[in-house]
Amino acid sequence: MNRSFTIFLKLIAVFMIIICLTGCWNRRELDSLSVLVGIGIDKTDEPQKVNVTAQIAIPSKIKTSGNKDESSSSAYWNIQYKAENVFTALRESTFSASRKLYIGQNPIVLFGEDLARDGVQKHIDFFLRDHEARLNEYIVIAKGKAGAILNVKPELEKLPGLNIEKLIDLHYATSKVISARLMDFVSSLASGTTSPVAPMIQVDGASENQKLSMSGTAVFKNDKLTGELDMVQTRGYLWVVDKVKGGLINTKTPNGVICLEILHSKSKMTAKKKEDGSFVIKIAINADINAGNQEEAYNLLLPENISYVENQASDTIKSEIKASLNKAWELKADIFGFGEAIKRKDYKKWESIKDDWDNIFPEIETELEVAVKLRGTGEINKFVQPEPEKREKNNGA
Amino acid sequence: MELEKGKISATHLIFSIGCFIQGSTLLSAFVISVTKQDTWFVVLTGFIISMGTIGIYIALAKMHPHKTIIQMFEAIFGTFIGKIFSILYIFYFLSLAGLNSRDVGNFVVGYIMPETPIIALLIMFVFICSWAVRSGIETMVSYSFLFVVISYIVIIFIFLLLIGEMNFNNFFPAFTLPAIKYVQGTHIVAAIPFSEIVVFLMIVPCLDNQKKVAESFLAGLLIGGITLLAVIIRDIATLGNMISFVTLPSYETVKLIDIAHIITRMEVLYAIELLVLQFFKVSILYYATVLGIAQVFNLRSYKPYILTVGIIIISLSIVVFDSPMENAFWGSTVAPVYSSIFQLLFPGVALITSLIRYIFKGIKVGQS
Amino acid sequence: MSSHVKKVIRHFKIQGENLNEDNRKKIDNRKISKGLQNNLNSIRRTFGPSKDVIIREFSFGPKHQTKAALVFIEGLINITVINDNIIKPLMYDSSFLFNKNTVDPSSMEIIKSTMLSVSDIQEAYDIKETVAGCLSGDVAFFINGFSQAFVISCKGFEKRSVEDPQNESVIRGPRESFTENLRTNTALLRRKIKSPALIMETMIIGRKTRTNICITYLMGVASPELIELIKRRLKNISADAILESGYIEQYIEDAPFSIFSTVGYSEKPDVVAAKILEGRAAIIVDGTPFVLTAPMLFIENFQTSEDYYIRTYFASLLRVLRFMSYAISILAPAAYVALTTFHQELIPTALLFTMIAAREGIPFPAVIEAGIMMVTFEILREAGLRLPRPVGQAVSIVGALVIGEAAVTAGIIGAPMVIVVAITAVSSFVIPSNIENATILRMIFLILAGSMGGFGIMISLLGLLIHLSSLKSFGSPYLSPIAPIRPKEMKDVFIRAPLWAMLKRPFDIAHNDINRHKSITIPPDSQENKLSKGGEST
Repeated sequence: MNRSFTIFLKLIAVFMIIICLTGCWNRRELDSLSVLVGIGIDKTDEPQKVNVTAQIAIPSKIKTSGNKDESSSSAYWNIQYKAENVFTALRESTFSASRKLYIGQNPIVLFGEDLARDGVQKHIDFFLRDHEARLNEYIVIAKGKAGAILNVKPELEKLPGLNIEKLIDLHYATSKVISARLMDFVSSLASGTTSPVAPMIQVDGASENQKLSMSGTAVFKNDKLTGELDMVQTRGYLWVVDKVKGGLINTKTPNGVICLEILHSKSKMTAKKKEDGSFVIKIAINADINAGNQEEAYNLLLPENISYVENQASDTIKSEIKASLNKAWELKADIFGFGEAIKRKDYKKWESIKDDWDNIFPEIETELEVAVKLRGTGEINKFVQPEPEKREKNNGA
Repeated sequence: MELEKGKISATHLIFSIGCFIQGSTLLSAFVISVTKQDTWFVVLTGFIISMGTIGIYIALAKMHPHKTIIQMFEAIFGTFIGKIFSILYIFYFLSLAGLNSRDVGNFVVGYIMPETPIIALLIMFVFICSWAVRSGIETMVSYSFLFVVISYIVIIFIFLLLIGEMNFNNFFPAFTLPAIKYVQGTHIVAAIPFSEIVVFLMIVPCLDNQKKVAESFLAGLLIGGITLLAVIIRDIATLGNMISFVTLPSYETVKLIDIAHIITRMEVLYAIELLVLQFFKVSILYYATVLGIAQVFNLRSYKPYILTVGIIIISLSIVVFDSPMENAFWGSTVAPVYSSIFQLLFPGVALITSLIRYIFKGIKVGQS
Repeated sequence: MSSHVKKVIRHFKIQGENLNEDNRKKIDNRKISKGLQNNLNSIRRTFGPSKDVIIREFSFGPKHQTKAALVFIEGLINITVINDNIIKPLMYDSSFLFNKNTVDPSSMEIIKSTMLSVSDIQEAYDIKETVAGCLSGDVAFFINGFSQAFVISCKGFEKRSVEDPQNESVIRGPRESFTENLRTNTALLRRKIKSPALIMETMIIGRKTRTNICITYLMGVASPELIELIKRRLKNISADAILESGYIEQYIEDAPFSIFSTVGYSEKPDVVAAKILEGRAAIIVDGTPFVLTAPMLFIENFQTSEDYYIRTYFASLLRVLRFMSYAISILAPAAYVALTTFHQELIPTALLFTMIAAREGIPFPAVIEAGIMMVTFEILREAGLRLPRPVGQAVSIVGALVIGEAAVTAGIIGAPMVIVVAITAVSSFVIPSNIENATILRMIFLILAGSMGGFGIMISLLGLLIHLSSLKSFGSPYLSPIAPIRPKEMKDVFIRAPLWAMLKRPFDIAHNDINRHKSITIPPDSQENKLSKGGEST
């Protein structure tokens, strides 16, 4: 047994001691976690305090084995706590909750409308600093109280928080609501000129048949809620910032309304300098559409009909965009990122105008170019009705 | 009295240098906090500047084949002054090992296991590094290829997953910062990732074919530089405005990967890659320290001192900073100057003295 | 009086001499004397009271005057050979042998070359050689008046026939396996490699067991330093007993304190032949069908002979599968524990809820749970191996199902843990030679993961890597070709490149004579392709 071997043995002994005695500070057994699936933050009557609603999932009740009678026992528990900020509230909830709150799986952060008007950033800061929180959590503004939203029991999902997350995920189906991650929100806050946006959600229906529905977009000035975009304006906003991934446009034709489906869209926003030094923002949009629903026979195989439909669609798009521009100008909130576009083009000029951006923004000229192309008519290419030759024969016969 | 009998091949040296530089992606926050979205440019200029310092090292290595930098100092300056320089270098390598261990500790404690006292992590980490040093230089460089390949695979994989998130508008406006920031940024990049290769002057003597020193250094620098550039570009494109606010940009970038809620939470890959690369870096620095001590004091072997130096490294890394904020401040302001002394000043002086001796005395120093 | 006492004492001494090693040495080293009875007495004294040593005395010669004796051990010899080829010719045909009655030294030559119709005769001059011969299954032939004896080979003991291998079964490939007899094994190897360059050198190791060892290698391909090294280490073995090749392995291996074995073994001749052809040396040990191969690299664990008999795509897939299953078998419990106790944010939300629901009410922390399950599994595995066949299958099924089910229902173990350990167990059987090191590694990883989470797993993986890279097996780095990177050999590590593409032997094994083929020719022969351009090949 030579010396190095004994030293080796001593080292092993030291390691065993370290490993066993330490107690492993960061160990959390799975059943000591209370997994948060939604956080709602509301204003309270006391000025410095906020009311935090934390929705804790109860995993053993999530997998009910087909027993629908158990709908009375919900798979979650909403715990409410009042404290100075979110962090304090989550920690102090351990006064009542037997497990330490764990936000690593939290998909949404819900702010009450009145709290949002006062400023959101002081509550978001916690989510940015905490190592468990993820930057791709969705931030949502509730019409009314956030706690009420979190109490609405969803029909399809077991947990309201996850339900809201899925609702936001589906924004691409209509492109009339947006999704805003923490990352996008704070990016706008960091830019200085861009206004952050977040989707809004409300409760529909009476107290027995409540359901949630997404409704519009909240516009912030710095971090304070100032206004709202309705559905049409939201889509106009999405057209400009290149986030339209689907949706429907109902266009009027001489033969009824055709429901067009947006397949893809691409938009480019650039800032161009004019001779007198001011800027013009050029927005170019390319969209591909599909015919989804025809009310009457309108022959989409004829080129002139196709271009009619395309023009109608592009007019609709232009009007949506104009609606959003008007609203943004009215709110003096640069939700599109025009300031950033100018900054990319000419940094020095931007430096000089950024402090006065609120006033300059509504005066910015915009040029719109929308190109729409009809790419298909679906699985049938004509509205189903008897063919013209046959009709004459029938008439004749 | 050969302290180090191992022989390594040129391929191993190339990949060791590449792996060493890749380890510094953990420290990209130092330079990003200074130059924000123009960091890619600063990386390129830093690369070019560091070719100069690497040129000094290559020249020194060529003039004194099969000698470590400590032995070179003794040959160039004579025993007394040479030993003073050597002891300063041993302190430098020791401090680098301590600082890098502290970076690992900060990373793990800050992002993965917050409540763990950093000393427990450091003990485990430095223990593994000491085990690697104990197994000898041949073993240590033999897995450098494996590490480089793994880190490239991880980086490419993450890059591909993040393409949807990247927005190349984030690179503009470019070149809007005051010029002094670019100089500072270049200095940081040249000093911290690239020119720390000076430690390889302790390992170059083991190269069996001494003629390949130049190409090994340059190829390794290229491999490491490409990685660093790719990571910086990815971070800038993904984080945009937030890049100067986050403490560890690369990690936050990876946290953002979320494809259809299925391919998500991939930061563990990145954590593994970082730990592995830093392990390699610290073990090379550790080895250089121990070998240096053995050479300065003319000891027979460096193995008995491995544990002691390990304990010193642990203590140093705990004592040196109170918090990661101090670390960040040190990294972007003081560290480049501190490093430049050892990376540029001393080797430059050594090279010039060496050249002077060569010219005036007419004796080829390599033959003495 | 004193002489009588001395006789009594000597009588007792002789009784005791059989147990006294020094005296036996004196007896053994005694030269064969010309007197037959002296020799036979020495033999009797050496063998002691063993009754299976037969001494057959007879006479032969023209007037049946020459007395001779055969000494053999019953059960080891082929009695037919003795009867027909030794006793018969001597008794019947020796009448014309001696013209005179005197002893003639040349008679030994005549007897050896004309009378004994056996294939293998050695001459012996010491009692020790004859004793060793008898113990090996030869017959010692003493002739009165001659100070030499013959040791005639006529081995005929019971041995197992060549059967299917028990441990290495294949779907495609030869199904012969080595047996416990050295000669059969060397013959099996000779049939695989019909080249005169296949050298078989023998040694005898073990002071009491005197086991025959045969070192086999291909001259010109295996490096001489390797053979020297092996021989030197074998010569240094001073043990009493060598009962199995495992004994030899443990005496000559490079890293006795490591959990990884640096000497390979196999039961099948085609596997060993393939390894010899790559430049390794094989050590065949009499008495065991397991043949050692040296040096052994880590990746050999993942290469089976069947890989080379099936085509490249499927073989590569199997390789990748083996690496994955090794990774699962060492990492799965540790990763599970680390994820669920330290890094819950890495688990997808839905899965996390399922796991939490499964863990409600379990009294033990995850580490302990995993430890219990692993120990239980090891007990079941070992019990299944040792029990008699009819009961063995039942125990494993009963154990797995009943104990697992019951434990989950009783709420002692969580269901996900059972699944994880079951997958670990099944994966560990994919590579039988890795069961030893995987089991130990698994436990180390589990302990470190339980205390430090993902960081602990990283540390242990790095430690494993350092350990593996610093191991050397008979001069070759253990992790070659991954760790000292050899790009040309990577064709056989994670994938199995087509046979016609693997041009060179591994550099770390065969330092000379690297080429396997002359050049790459993609089948069918490229000449054919040039001739029939654009047409279908016939």
